[in-house]
Amino acid sequence: MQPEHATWLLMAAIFCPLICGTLSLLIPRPYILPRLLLILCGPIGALLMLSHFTFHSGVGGATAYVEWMPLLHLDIALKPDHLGLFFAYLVSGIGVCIVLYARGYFGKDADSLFRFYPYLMIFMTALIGVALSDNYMLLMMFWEMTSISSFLLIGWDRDIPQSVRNAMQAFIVTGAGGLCMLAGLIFLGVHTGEWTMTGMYHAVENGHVAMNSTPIVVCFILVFLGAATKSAQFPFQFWLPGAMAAPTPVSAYLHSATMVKAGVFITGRFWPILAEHVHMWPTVIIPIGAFTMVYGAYVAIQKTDLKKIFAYTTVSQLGLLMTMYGLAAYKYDGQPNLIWDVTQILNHALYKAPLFILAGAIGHVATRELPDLKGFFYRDKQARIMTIFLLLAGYGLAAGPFTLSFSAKEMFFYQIYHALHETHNPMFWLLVCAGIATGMFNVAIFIRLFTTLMAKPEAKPEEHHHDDHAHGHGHDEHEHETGFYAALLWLPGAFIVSFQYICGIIPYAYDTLFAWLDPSKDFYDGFHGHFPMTWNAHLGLPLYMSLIAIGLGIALGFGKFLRGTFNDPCDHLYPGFYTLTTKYVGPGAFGIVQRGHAGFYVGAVLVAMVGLFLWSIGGDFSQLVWPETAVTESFTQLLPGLLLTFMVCLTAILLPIVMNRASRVLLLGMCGFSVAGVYYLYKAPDLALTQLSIEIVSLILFLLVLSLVPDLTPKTRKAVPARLVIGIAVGLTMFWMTLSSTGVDQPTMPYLNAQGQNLPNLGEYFLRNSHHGVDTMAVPESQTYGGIVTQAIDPNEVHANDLDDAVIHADKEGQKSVLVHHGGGGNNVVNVILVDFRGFDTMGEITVLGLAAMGVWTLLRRRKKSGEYNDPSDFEDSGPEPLKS
Amino acid sequence: MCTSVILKVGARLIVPLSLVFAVYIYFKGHQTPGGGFVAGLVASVALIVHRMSFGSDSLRRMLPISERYFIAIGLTLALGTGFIAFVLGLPFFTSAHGYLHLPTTIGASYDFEWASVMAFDLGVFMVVTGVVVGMIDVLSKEIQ
Repeated sequence: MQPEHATWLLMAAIFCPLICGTLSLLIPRPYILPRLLLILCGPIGALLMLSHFTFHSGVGGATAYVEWMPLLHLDIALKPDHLGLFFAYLVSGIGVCIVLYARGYFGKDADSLFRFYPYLMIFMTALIGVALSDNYMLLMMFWEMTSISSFLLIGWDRDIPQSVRNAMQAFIVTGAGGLCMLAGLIFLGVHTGEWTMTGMYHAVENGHVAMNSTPIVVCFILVFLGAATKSAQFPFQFWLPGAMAAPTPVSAYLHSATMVKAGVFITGRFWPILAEHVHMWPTVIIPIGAFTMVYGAYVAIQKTDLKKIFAYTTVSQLGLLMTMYGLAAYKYDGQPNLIWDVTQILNHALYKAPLFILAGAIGHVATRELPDLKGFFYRDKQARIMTIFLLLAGYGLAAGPFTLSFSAKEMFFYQIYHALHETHNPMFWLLVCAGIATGMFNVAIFIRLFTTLMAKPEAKPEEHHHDDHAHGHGHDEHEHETGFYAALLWLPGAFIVSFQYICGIIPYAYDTLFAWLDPSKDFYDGFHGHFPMTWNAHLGLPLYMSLIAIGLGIALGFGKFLRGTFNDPCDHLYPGFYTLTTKYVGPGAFGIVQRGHAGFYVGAVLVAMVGLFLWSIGGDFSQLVWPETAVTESFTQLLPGLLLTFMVCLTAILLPIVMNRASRVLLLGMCGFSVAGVYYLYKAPDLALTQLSIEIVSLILFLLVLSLVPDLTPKTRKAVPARLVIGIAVGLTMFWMTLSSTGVDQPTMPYLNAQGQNLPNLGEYFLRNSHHGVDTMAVPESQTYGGIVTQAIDPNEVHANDLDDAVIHADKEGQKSVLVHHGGGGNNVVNVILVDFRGFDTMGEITVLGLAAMGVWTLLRRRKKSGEYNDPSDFEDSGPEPLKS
Repeated sequence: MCTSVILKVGARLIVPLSLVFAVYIYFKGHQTPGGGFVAGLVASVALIVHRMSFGSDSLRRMLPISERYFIAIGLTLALGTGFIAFVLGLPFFTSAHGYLHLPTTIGASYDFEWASVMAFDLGVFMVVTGVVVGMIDVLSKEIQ
């Protein structure tokens, strides 16, 4: 496939879910089936498009690349290597099942489905983007998108304060981690000059980057902080169980199968780059991962809510995956000690997603509290089906024989074994114990699930109260669908969990189904020939570990230990932090800064401005420039200008004296009109026109707002001298700043400095390039400076009319030639600057403008709805509407 | 709503003229003074004058869609201009320009120089109009 085609196909795959999600908003709410079909197109389309890529390219492989913002190092660089593609497959594959499950879960609740699917699709796009990004900045963009969509989905029940709190908690924890990661990646990019994983990999390969230096280690720690918060590593694991406030499809998808693995994924991405060279890699990752692994399982067994149990086992499994990448820093047989990492990740998704799906299904028809589910199996036919599949998935959690999970756990134990074997470090015996303990807890959880659900019911089960309902907005509690749609509650889970057994029982089924996903399979081939299935398990430390874990687990499962409820002390971390900042630190700090008095704010800003100006010139007033052009005009020529200036001064002086608000607004308008006159006089018709219309609009706005504001003008003024001093200082500062910014050459931008020629200043540059610039200088060949294509051409060939032709022959000798900038194609420089040279700024400005208007609408509507006016003091001293001028 | 007859008669003359003028300075903005921002302001001043003299209902008849859509469409258009360059494999917001030969009634054709950023400018135009008219409309309703 050609590279450019690959780029577009990958981008289409990334944005396919988002586009389908957006389009689904156009379908009227009651049409559930068309909506479902359209949404299914998202993940299925992504899957189909991704299937065009092969897995041959490794980390150093080719990258699909399109420039986006080259100066900011933000480019669309996508890399379909094995890990990224696998992850994208996982996201879209499980995504299909979750979309179907959501239909079963929300039932006929059209409003919920209308709102739910677009959120889900934003997430899907974000995570496929994370998986395929090669560029750091692009990665961060998608990464934050996953945090935002996760926030929206956790806080699904907008009316329940607890769920909103949990959403905030998850967002703040992962967001803070994301900021750390952003800092780390920027630091890494600035330090090494490489802004893509591929580039970084090659730089490390060729020894261009000094690894193990302090900057790289700092980068590693910052990036790992991002990964650890996202993947809920100790002590940040508390947000993940909190995130279970979300509807179950979200828990099954984001918070077990896919998003929380993003941190593991990033660790896996950086493993080939950093693991071998940064000595801290294993010593940081393994202890944290291993502790999370044991601790998560330890908490899980003491929970009673099904979703909480599975949330903590997810934490535990994430710890295991982290440990796996930590152990990969060691070597075994000259190869990295990493066996089937992709399989480990896949395996977890294949049993954890079904567990959540079925937990949600059981909660939907009964309750999620395990003690209340005693004998649930005997309730009715539907309950029997759900119980069977839940237990099948639970067997996978326990890593029992004849599941894929068994093999995966064996391989993890092999990794520990190899590390122990190679390093002879006794600390790894601790890790062996941690592995056994985790396995034991998981087995015990399964045993307890089994014994509770299958127990003979003591009494007639009480009438069902729905715990995990589609938190009904207009959803009738007892309206259950029948047939296929009802079966969608458990069918996707059954489908996913079946792979656990197909791959676990049938030899080579895994090889044909999933093994091609895994790049490290060659390594395993080299050491025992086959995937360590239950059939060909051979005696050794790993198998003993599994057997001990199962034996102890059965004992613990039936035993009386650890039956109480245990609350994770880390749950208090976030509320404590929150209370500290909002109750103690916040009011203290804000009390000083946020006085609620506009005069104070404006004064602070102005004083800071003057202060910064004085600081920047270092108190050396001799630096200040005076206009170089001498006044040559006669008095009569100057007269109109002087008159207008007099008007401006007069209105400015009258403003503070006049007390009536309306008069002041009119005075301001007068001042503005005079300024417009000055613009017109000094040949800036563009500015004059803009100023004139802005004055009219703001006059109307002002008068409208004033008529809403109660007249509370104080009759006396405080601190007049201070205000006077600030005012004069600001006036002088602005005067000098304007002079120095127009009178002296601007510091030129780097791309203007090419060839070291005598370059014009920025204003000159704009003037020259507004239509199409012509410049005589030596340029070897066509180049792109900051997005402006310049071409070297023979001066003899240049005719005035030719300048528009994009294709002009290049001067081969690199002699003195004419440089043609294909500029904005407009003679009105002001407009070209606004829409072309500074188009990004304008884009930002109109966005802000639109948001401000939306804000005004929302606030006014709210006021109308509540029917009461706010405290009049809120309006005192309020400034004008933010308008661009 | 009582407004003076003078304003009403004047508005009949001023509003259409200003709207045409707004369109004119939008199209000429790339070459001569003007541009989307000013054009948007002029158009919104015209619409506000109309609203002041004939009332909110009349404005609704003249402008059947909500100003919110103006903002949404304008922003989409502005962003879309950037993406077109991107789809063509150029950096975001790369512009192009050329000539459009327009026939005229007086013989020689008129060369209108277009630029791709005019679509961006149209976005600015729509956002500005939407914001100003919408804000003033809402605030005026608040007063009544």
